[in-house]
Amino acid sequence: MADRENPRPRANKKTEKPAQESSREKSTAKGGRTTASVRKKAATEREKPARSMVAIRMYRGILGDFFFIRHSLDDKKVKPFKMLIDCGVLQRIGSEEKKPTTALGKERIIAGVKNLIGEFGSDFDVVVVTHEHYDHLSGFIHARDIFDSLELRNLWVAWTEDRSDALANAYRDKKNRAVAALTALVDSPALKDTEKMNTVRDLMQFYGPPGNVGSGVGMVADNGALSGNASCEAVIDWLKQRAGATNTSYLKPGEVHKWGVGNTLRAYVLGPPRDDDRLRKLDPSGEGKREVYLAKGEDVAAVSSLAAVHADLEGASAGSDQPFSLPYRREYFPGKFAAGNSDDILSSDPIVKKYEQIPASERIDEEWLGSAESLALKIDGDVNNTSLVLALELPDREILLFAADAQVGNWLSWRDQDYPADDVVNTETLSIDRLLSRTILYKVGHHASHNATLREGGLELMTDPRLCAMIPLVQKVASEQKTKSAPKGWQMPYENLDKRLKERTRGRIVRGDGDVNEETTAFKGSVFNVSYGPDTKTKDPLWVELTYEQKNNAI
Amino acid sequence: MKYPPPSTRRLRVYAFDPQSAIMLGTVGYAYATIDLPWEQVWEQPLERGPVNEYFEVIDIDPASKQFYDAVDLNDKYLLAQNGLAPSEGNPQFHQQMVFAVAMKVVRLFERALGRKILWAPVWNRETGTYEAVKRLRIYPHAIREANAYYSFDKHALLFGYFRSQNLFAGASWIFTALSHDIIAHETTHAVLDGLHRRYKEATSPDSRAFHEAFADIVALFSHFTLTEAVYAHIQEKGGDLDSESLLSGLARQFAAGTSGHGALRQYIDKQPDPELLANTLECHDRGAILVAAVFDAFLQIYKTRTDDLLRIGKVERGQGKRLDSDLARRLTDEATKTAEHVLRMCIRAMDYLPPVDVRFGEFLRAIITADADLVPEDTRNYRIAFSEAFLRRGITAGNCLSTSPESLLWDSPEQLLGQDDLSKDFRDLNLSLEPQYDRDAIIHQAEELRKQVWRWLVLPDKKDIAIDLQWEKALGVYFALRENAPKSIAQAEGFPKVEVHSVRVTRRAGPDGQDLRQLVIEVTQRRRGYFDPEQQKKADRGEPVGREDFNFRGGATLIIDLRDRHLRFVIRKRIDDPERLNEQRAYLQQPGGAAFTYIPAATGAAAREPFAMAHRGE
Repeated sequence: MADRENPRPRANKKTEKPAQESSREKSTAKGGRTTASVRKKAATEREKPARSMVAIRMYRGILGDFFFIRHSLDDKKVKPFKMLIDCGVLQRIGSEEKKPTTALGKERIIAGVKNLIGEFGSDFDVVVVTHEHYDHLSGFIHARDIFDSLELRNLWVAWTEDRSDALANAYRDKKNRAVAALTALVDSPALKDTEKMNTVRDLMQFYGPPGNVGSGVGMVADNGALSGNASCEAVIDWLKQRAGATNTSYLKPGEVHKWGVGNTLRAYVLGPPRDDDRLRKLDPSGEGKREVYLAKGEDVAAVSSLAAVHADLEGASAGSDQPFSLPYRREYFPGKFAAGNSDDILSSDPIVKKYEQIPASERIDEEWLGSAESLALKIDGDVNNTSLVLALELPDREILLFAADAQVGNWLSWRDQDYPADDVVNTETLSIDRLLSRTILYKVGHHASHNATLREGGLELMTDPRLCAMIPLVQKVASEQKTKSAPKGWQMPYENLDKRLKERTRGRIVRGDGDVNEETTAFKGSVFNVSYGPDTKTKDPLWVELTYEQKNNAI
Repeated sequence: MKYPPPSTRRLRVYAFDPQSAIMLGTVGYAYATIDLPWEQVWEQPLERGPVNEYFEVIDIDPASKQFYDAVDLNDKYLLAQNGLAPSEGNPQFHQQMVFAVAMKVVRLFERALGRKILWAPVWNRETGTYEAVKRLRIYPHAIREANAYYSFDKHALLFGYFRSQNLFAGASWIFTALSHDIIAHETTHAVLDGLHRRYKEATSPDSRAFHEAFADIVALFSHFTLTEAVYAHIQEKGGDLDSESLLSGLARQFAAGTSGHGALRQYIDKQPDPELLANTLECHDRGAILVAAVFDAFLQIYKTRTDDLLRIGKVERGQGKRLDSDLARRLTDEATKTAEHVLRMCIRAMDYLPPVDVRFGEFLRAIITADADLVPEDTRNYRIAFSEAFLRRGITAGNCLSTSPESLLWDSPEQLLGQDDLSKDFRDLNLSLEPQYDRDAIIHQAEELRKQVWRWLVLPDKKDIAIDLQWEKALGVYFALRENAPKSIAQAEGFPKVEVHSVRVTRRAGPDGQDLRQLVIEVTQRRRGYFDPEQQKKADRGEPVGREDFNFRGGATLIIDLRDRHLRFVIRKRIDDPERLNEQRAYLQQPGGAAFTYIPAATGAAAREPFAMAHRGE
């Protein structure tokens, strides 16, 4: 292998810490399910290795991530290794008439789960949940009846999910306060169902069904059941309960975990970044590194106090949320004097009168919403940046890159550490550039949006000519998400990125709404074989699968 | 018995911000009184709000669902005590302070420019014309966040307030409407937009940065009108001004309340790095380099002006020895006078800038030329101080022969075209230039002049067609679609559109009684710009291509001496300059100089409100 023939001695401090290296080498397939026959098989592999096959299945027709990976040997007696990465679909907020394609998502994901469990059973070797967004885990809610039989030997989540981690808790607390304040605004009587809150409302859908996000409703019930209006946090709690505490791994960047039949394959953890300094630093605009987690405590406090003022229209707001003392206050909201009541105030106050005569586009009624929108966007970006990013290594050492929804900050942090090149302690390390250059399949980040694929330090470094890509996206659904500030809906896939992806992969891209014939043609001669699942009612295959067969037995 | 009106209206304000009023070290000069000229008979009287001819303060607070009663500055009790006493807890004082500081900035500009300022007109989509904006609105409590901005869409200044978690700020609520620096900064954005409304377009790394820098220059130098603060500082530092202090930093309370830092921006840099400019692209940071250059020039001039005083007083500068109070008083005089001169030089330069796509180096040329026009003999070497301070920060003026002040002067028509046939042509132009006083009449006159000049300049000359070609060359625009003209120039009815942007008459008086009467004409033209050079070529040939990716503008500023109707300077940015087009294209495609991902241009709030103190989402 190239790595071994050309060992690159890197004067990297990290390589000089054997103790840390060995602690990273966590065997993950705990429990007794690795049968004796598998172990025996693995032992004999060295003399006469069995050829192995890896299949990556993406469920189609949904804007959301739902991936299933299995590793099997050509020896049929050996049970394949099964890994589920995320299972979710975008929530429909707004009427079915306005978002007809989005409305189909729920049915599609239930059909997908039914298909998956029908074909492979409900036991998984590893379930990976990348981050707490609805479009990555709502499948567990929608198909909770089917998932009732779920058995998982291991749950992989990011370190940010660890409740015993002070850093993770501080971050979680901030996020939860922000989400609570923002939902209070969205649900407040004066702003409920108004056009102007659309941007915030659309972003809040990623945390759970409306009305249940900030209030704590929809958590796991005492009997361990998941309710239909569970929040994202509740889903992860439920999965943790199912897996058991000892089988839940909190993955940190730089670690290597094992997967595949007999735990022979390696999974490198690239993100989410963990940098105490970055998280605690007060001033994000300070010199040096770019901030990964942007939302500041002050921003959260500001929106919380806005929520306190606006969540209750009739009653006088609490004094502590008002800047001026009672004698100076005159309650006002747009249109208060419009209906002809209290004419006396209107005529006696020239300023209010002047203000009400200003054309609506020049008034400042909604200007303050900007801070709520900007916080909602920051929190959304923050959660995306907590994405667990995995580089799954194949038997021939090529890489499948699952970037979840990692945004720029997460991508940039991948080069903050090197990665153990081998299972032997204290050997050489791999740089992120090496891993990227070996990537032959890229699960495109954040449904191919504009800011979730790094250019120079990312896609341009995936130089393997065999590179293929998967995009979990239905473009129609993305374009249905219209708001005032985005009248054309979400730009997914982002044009420039899509163009570059096509160039780099020579068109070898499968997409959630891709054309079967086009994709099949593009994949001719590819390292992956492409196949499709059964047609749904709309003649649209339920899934697409890329199959990789081991070429080299030398491993 | 009828009394004559007083000459000034005096209003109390915080000299810096409320933070300095709660610290023993600064409380002695934490308050100031602003003298505004009393309304003239032809001006509209000051109303509750306050509302006058320039501003209307509207204290509506939608974020907190409140409005606050408007202050009546004509109330006899308030008149008797120079307005309300400074107070954070009284919203009416906030109205008084934003109004007073904003008016102070307006008067500063009017005095330096020698004419009344006008706000940027708004484009009316329905009628397809620009409409004059008589009054700028001021909202002292517009948003609840650590921000403030000039919004040209709403032709308003919006001030935010927020609750700070930071003890050093000295208050739980911080109001940007109580920060002298922030008010001056945002008001300057509005004034500059009124002077050059194309400068808000991002055309190069310098364009937005220039807006920020200029707003900071005005805020910074107005500190030096506060004689008590300057006196205290000079006493403390033994006559030295070049150490970090309340005077050299901006928006201290705002900074303490947001980041815990000492000042939002600090303008003392003793070891300027000429390489820094090339690597700094964020607009506030890049602008800071320009401000530091101007501040450096100020410090140099102050030094040369006070060396003799210190020798007479037998003290060495910066020894920290307590100075004789007479000497400190004289040094303070010199410092405030120097600051006044430097600021006035910067403001006058505004008329000597190109109408589009301004660069830092051009600002330097404008300062030098404007000053040389008014003060021919630079006995105190002000101009050298400027060119040297700029050069030390890597700010140079393109293709000038050297950085000596003479070679930095703008080109005369003879230098540009080899001969000047253009001055003669002015005799055809009969403008009605009677001075107007009433603000409505001034607005009306400005519009009439604009139309007159447009007709004279753009319509073909009946007597001499050759002169039109000369004008085209001088202005860097096209009046007709000639063979070599890029066909991507915006057209109307088969002719390239030409905009006579503004025609202004200025009257300035120099220190030695010089009287300068000038006419400043700005002409611009728009051309469709494409990111793809191939598409650009097609569009330039007149072949149909899609919608443009950006606006590329060219044009010129003409400066005409009204005493002899002589065309003195032509400051030109050609519409067919391929190099400048390439630069703008490259800049727009690489926002912030680093295309991290695949996004081509700034979107969202930063794009909507470019003049924010702090950009949301950054």
